[in-house]
Amino acid sequence: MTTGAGAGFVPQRQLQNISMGIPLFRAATTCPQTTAFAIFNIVGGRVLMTYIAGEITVLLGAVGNFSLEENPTAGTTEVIATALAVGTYAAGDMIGITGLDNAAAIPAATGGIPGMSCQGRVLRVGTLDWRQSASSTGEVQWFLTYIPIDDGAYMTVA
Amino acid sequence: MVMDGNYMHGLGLRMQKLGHRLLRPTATLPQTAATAIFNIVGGNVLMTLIIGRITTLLGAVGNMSLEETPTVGTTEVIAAATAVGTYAQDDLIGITGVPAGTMVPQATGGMPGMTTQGVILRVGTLDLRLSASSTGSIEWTVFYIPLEVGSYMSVA
Repeated sequence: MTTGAGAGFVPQRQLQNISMGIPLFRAATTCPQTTAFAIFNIVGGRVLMTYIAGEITVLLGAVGNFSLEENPTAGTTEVIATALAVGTYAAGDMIGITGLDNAAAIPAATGGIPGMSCQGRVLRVGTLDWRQSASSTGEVQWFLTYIPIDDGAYMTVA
Repeated sequence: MVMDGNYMHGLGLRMQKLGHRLLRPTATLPQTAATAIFNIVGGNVLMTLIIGRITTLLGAVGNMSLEETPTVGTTEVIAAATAVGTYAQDDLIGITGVPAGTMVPQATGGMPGMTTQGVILRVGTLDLRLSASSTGSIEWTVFYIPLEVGSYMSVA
C-alpha cells in the first residue's frame, strides 16, 4: 500500500475532490432541542450533495427521532432522510442517508454507514436542516461533500 | 466554503463528475402531447443528471413523463408518468435513471440524483410528454458525457 505525501499517483485530498467533490466539515455541536436547525447553507445556486455523515461524539440519549430536511428559500421543504430513532447509538457511531426519496436515515441499528444509493441529492439555495423530535445533551459532528450544479454555487457551515 | 488545498473547484469539478451542462430556459408545456426539449446529435451520449425546475405552477397537467425518441430504433420511456400538477414553484423534478422508474420526487419538493450511472441517449430527441394541457412552465438543466467522437446535445 502506498500512502503519504507524494507516494501515490493522486494524493488523497485530490482523490477525494475528484471522486466525491468539495468537502465541508461541521464541528460537533449539541442537538436541536425538539426542533430543527440549519447545519449547512446552500448559496448562489444548486449543488449535488454526494455524501453526508454525522458522527456521534456524545451519546444522544432520549433524543427521539432524527431526520434531515432540505429547506429551500423558494419551493417546498423536502425531507431527505425520514425519522430514525438514534438515541442508543454510541459515541463514534455514524448516521447517514440513502439519498432516495422517502427513505429513513441509516443505519437502522447502531454502527457504520454505506454511501448513498444514488449519485447524491440536489439541494436548492437555502439550508440543510437537522431535526430532532425530542431534546438531548448529545452531540454530532458532520461531514459532507458536494459538487456545484449552477455557476457560483457553494455550501457553507451554518 | 472549503477552498484551501482543493485540487479542483467549481466548474472543473462539475465537468469532471457530471459532464457538459446544457440549460433550457423556462418554457410552456406540451399540450396533451410530447415535444422535444433536447436534441442528441452526432452519436450517443450518457445523460448523467436532469433537473426540471417548475417556474410557473403546472396545475391540471395530468401525468408527466420523459421519452428518448431516437431517429432509428424504438422510443424508450426513461421516466414513467408522475402527477406533478400540485408541485410548487421552484420545486424540482428528476429521474431515477432506471427503466420504467417514475419521475422523482413522488411528492412535492427536491430530488435525488440518478441511481444509475446515467441514461444512454441515442441520436434523436429527448421529449417531454404531458397527458393534459396546462399553462405551467418548466426550466430544464441537463448534464451529459459524449460517448462517441463528435456527439453532443443541444436545446430543442
